[in-house]
Order: sequence, then structure tokens, then C-alpha cells
Amino acid sequence: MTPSYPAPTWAHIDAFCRADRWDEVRETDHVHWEKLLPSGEVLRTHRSFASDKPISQGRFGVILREQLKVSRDEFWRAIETREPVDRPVELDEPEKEYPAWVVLGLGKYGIHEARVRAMSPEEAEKLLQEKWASQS
Amino acid sequence: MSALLPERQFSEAKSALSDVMDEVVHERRPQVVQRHHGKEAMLLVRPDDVRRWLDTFRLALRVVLDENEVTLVADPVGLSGYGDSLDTAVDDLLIELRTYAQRFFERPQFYAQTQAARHEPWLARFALTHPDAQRDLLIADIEAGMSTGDHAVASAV
Repeated sequence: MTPSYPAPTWAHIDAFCRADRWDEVRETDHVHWEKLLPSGEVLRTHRSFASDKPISQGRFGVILREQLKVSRDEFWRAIETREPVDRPVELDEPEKEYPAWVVLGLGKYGIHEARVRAMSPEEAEKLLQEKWASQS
Repeated sequence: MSALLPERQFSEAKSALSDVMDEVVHERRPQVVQRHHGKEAMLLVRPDDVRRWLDTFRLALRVVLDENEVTLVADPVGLSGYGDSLDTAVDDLLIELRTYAQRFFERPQFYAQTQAARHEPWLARFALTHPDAQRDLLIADIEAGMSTGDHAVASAV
């Protein structure tokens, strides 16, 4: 059975970083967190928005996988127990990703992010190639 | 040190600093300055030359799309920019890159002992770009992905 979790907010990121013993770095209007792992890897994350603002699932997946280096289960467990994560942990599957040049390129043809999102990355890239081909 | 580059002892360079700078800046001649019988050395070079040398260190950028939210991820430095469009996500990533580059070069000895040490050429390239041109640099890196060269960089990091 898949556990159910609350909708993540930026306050949860802050709570996780405190529980996981990250260092808070205040250098701009953004709140930055940094953690040195025993492996020598330096993790970094930041918050650009108000703490009560919800985080979309795709963005949350990127933050977990690439910045915090934890699974959803470990993320919520750390907040609940206020104990650091024992890394490495098995990470969740990556989100659907698009090369930035595909999103930028389609935007130049008036095909903006909402429409790109309805396509697979392969479909989006194929459409851009077709747009280029039709111009040449 | 290699005799292929002009070398000066520290005391000599110090007393002729104006000449040294003229050679580096106006004649584009890198200079090695050393002391303690060559045990310590530094290389003097024009910033724009270094910036050019680092031009192959392009960021590889990818995007995750949610409803009205764009997340832009920069490899290999592992930074993200958040926005409601690609445009605003680029702006947010710019702030992150500036913050990280500043912190990185303020604490070089710390980062040199970590896996983040490998980020240095990407951050140096960004830091050596005029602030007014840093956004264009990011857009150029995105557009560079249109060539197959970006796949080679992404797979190398």
C-alpha cells in the first residue's frame, strides 16, 4: 500500500533541512541550505518563495532526487522523527524531463510550456524538428 | 615549472609590476610568477583569455514541467531555477548561479576538498562573464544543446 503524504510546501523543505542537519545560508532574498556528506558530496538547495506556498509534484521530485538526495518516504520520515537521513538511499524514479533547448525552441513558434507539457519529450523534440524542417 | 611560459621571480615581478601587467594585458602574454625556488607559483593572465579557454564548459540544461510551473536544472553544478515560465526560471537560476559562484570562490579551500571541486571551471566561466551578459550566456548554453555537442557534454558530467 502506498503511503499518503501531505501536499509539500516550502516550509516542509525547511523542516527537512533542519531535521537532516543542513547549514542555512542567507545570502540573498532566497533561503539557501547546504550539507556536506561524508562522501565529500556537497548538497545544495534553496527556497525562492514564501514558506506556505505549495510545491508542484514534478518540482518536488527534482528537489528530492537531485538536491536532497532522498526518497519521498525518507523525506517525510525525517520531518516526523527529526532525525537525519542515513544516505545513500534508493531514490524515486526521475520526473519526465525535456531538454531546455526543446522548450525554448518551441516557445519561439508560439508553443509554450503548457502545450509542451501535454507531449512526451520525444514528441516535443520531433515537433521542433518538423518546425525547423518546414522553414528550410 | 614549464619554461614554455615566461617566468619571473616574485621580487622581480613586484618591482616591475607595471611592465608585467603590460605584457599580460596588452601583449596577451601569460606570466608565471614564482617564489621559494619555484615551490610556489601563480599564473597571471587576462580574465577574458581565461573566459575563452573555459568556453567548452557549457551548462547542460533540462526542464521539468508542471501546471504553471517550470523547473530548470543545470548540470553538472546541480542548481535549479524555479518559475512560472522558462523565462522566469532562467532568472531564478541566474540568482542561484551568482550565489553559488560567490560562495564557492569565497571558500575555495573548503570546496577543493569536496566533490564540488569539479564545478570550478563551470563556475569560473560564469563568474568571468560580465553580469549584464550572464543571462545571454545561459540562453546560449540552452541553444547550444540544439547541436549534438551538448549530448557529449551532458554525458561527460
